[in-house]
Amino acid sequence: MAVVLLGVFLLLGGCWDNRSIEHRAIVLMIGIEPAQDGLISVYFQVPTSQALSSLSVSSSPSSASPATYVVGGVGKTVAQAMTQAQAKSSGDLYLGQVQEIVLSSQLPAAQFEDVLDFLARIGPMDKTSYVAVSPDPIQHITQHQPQEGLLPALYLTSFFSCRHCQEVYLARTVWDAEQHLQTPGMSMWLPVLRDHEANFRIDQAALYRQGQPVMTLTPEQTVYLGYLLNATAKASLPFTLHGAPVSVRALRSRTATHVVPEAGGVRLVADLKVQGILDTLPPGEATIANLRALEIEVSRGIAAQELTLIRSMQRQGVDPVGFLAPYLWQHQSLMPQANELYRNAGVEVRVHTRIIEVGDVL
Amino acid sequence: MPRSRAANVPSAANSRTTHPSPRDVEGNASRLDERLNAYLADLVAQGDLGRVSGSVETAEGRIRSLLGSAPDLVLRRIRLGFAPGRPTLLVYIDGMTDPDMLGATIARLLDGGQESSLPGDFASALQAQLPLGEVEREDRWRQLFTQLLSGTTLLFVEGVPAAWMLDISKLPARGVGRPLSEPSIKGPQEAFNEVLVTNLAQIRHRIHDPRLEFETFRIGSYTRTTVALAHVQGLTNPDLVLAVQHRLEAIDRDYVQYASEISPYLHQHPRTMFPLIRSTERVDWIVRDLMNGKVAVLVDGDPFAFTLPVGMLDFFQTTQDYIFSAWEASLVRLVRLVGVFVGLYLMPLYIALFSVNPDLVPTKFVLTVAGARQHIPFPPVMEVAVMWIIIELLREAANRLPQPLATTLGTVGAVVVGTAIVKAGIVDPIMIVLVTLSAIGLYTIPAYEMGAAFRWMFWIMVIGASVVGVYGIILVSVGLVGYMSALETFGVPYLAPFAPLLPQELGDSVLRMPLPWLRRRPVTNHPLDRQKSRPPETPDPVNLRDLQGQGPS
Repeated sequence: MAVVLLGVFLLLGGCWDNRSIEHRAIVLMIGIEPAQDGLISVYFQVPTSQALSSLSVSSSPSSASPATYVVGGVGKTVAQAMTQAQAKSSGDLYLGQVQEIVLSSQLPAAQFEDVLDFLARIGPMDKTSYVAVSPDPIQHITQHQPQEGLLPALYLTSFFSCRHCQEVYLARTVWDAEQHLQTPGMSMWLPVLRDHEANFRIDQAALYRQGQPVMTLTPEQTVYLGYLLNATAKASLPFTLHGAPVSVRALRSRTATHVVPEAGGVRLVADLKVQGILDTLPPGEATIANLRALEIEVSRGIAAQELTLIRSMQRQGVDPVGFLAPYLWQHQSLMPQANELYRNAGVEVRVHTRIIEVGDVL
Repeated sequence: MPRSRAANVPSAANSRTTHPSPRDVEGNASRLDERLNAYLADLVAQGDLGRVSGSVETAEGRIRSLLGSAPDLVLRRIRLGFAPGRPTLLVYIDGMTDPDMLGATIARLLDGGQESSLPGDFASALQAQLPLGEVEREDRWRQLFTQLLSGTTLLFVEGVPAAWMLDISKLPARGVGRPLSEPSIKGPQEAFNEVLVTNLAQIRHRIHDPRLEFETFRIGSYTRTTVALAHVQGLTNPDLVLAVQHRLEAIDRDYVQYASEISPYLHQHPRTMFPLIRSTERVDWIVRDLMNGKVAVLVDGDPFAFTLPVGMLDFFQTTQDYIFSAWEASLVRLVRLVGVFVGLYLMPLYIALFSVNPDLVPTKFVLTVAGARQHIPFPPVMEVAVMWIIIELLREAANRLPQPLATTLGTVGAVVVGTAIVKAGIVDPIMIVLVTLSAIGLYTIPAYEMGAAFRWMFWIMVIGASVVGVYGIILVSVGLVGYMSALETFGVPYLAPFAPLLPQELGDSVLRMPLPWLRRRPVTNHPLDRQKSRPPETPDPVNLRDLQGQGPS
């Protein structure tokens, strides 16, 4: 009996498929873009053995040799493309350490959903890999070497994993994207990744409607979206006080949203509690009354910008904030007309600002 | 002159191939004749083959017939000073008798007045002439031979159907040394030695109480080794003492040299790889256990004694834990626990994470390891096997060498082999770090016997990890805990006080609370008196608070 159990354990344990880490091609980044004739191109970024060796002896990789190489494949599905790419690699393409997935903004909605579905079904792949969208050629993005000397995927991981390092925390994981895609009353958004000189540039968000990007926010709009999402960490906005320019920095907010039913529809309410640091005040202007006036000025400015942003998102029919999601959960019968309900909803933005510190004046 | 047995008795190998010569047959027949004559003399005189007849001649013949070829046997005829007409025979084993005491004894026997001038019968008179010390009279040959071969001197006097056993033995022994296998920075530095009497005296020296009891057993049909069972009456549960007594009496062996030969007979799991008996050479450890309601077993000839019953925790504790402060002792115990986990899990985790489940490792670490393993020809499990075999070889070789050489071998072996094997590309540098940490971790276990069990567990863990990764480690761990929780000795669960959970015992487990808080003996030993210390019954004259309310208001 013991021999049988041991035999079954060994045969079914899966140990025959085990490959030690050095025999695997560790994929750190996957790039996906549409190819001709409705096909999909998939690129796998893998660190070179020189880069790995340099990591193990704590030295920076040689600038002469690239830190990564890219293996690509084309197919009707991501799986087919991956099979083709596998044929070009001596190691087993291992997806258990994928850090970044970059999707082309040109991916049609059908292919986009196919891609997300595939990513969700790959067993070893971590569902917390970061996802970004790029309007640039994906092969070019995957071959990009950041100036900081890190492996590209590690650069992006460092960028996305630090919540308070960036102006707006734009990290989106596969898990988040799937969740937003499937939740009624909520639109998916992804950070936009661009190849910018020696590094990547990530300061915009792309808003999706049913797997298709319909709106790419400007960096300023992205900051205001960040306030609604509680994701803006250290924005800096210019204002004027009695005609003189002043700057409020480290602005962050705690935002609560809810929906108020009205006759013939609903009203979307965003309640922002903003706080920040005033850099400095002109000489003689550092009074409590002036601070209060500035706080009101900041509140008005943010409220106006937020209102404009929400109105534009309503026009496009995208709701990355998920104003309606809890309301629809409680009123399931309104699901079919959710889009119309959102587009026609009234909007109210309340902003309460508090200056918690005044530079070197007080 | 004692004859050499080798000269007369053909070896076992020769007896198979050659027939005994007529001369050998003649010699054997002669010895058989001598022995029969001696036996017949006892039988005629006493009517019992097993008792002394009272004839010195017969006694000498009987001893010679049995031990005559022993080169260290001394049979000496003397003339008693107070009874010169009675032939007297002194028998002892050379080298096991104190020569000064022997000289003094003989001098007293040769001296003395007339037999008729002494009061009482002859036996009492002789007893009065013997030196102070342990003197017993015995007429059974079996007992006499056992005592003689244990170092006792026998005195036969013509006409007395018994012999006197004079305890003037001085067994070859080293002095009381330091506990080399269980060193301690502070506290007593006293270890047992090979002489049981010395060991018992060392315990007695620390427990000045008549309730400390020793009971001796003779085990081994050839060696007749003395085994002592120690316990404190009124503390130790009598059921435990009775159970150990019965099991000691039931041991059927032809020889016993070591305490470890007895221990498997005392518990119900002789096949388990986990030690169920904690052996020690430290006197203070035995005394501590006795005071906690355990029994101790000491074997003559072995400086390692053991106590019963024990649980898993006993193997992770040292006497040093009770010498240092609670903070220090607790820290040391935590370090040992970490050491065990590192020793047991570090390398299996390495195998599991880098062979089976690399998705569980942080990316930077995976890349670093992958870089280090770029040109390694073997999978991690083979690397572990190679390195562990090297470690075990070095350890075993160091055990066989004198201390200075062992240290050199360890250092040179570790440095040279470690460096060379990495340069040769057989293992990666990370493996060297892991092997070193694992080895150090497992050697933090104070009890050597438990270290061996964990080394076996380590290999089972490695196999589990290499087959099914982290899941295998969890599977083996669950099995390990399940198995250990089923073990028990004398009713004490092996994993107590964690399984079953005994909150009142946790104060002296992974952490060690301050000693005044540990007021009770472990309940797992079922001691008769659980209270270690009692509150003072009379007010402390120094403590003014006790006196409050007693003075004039």
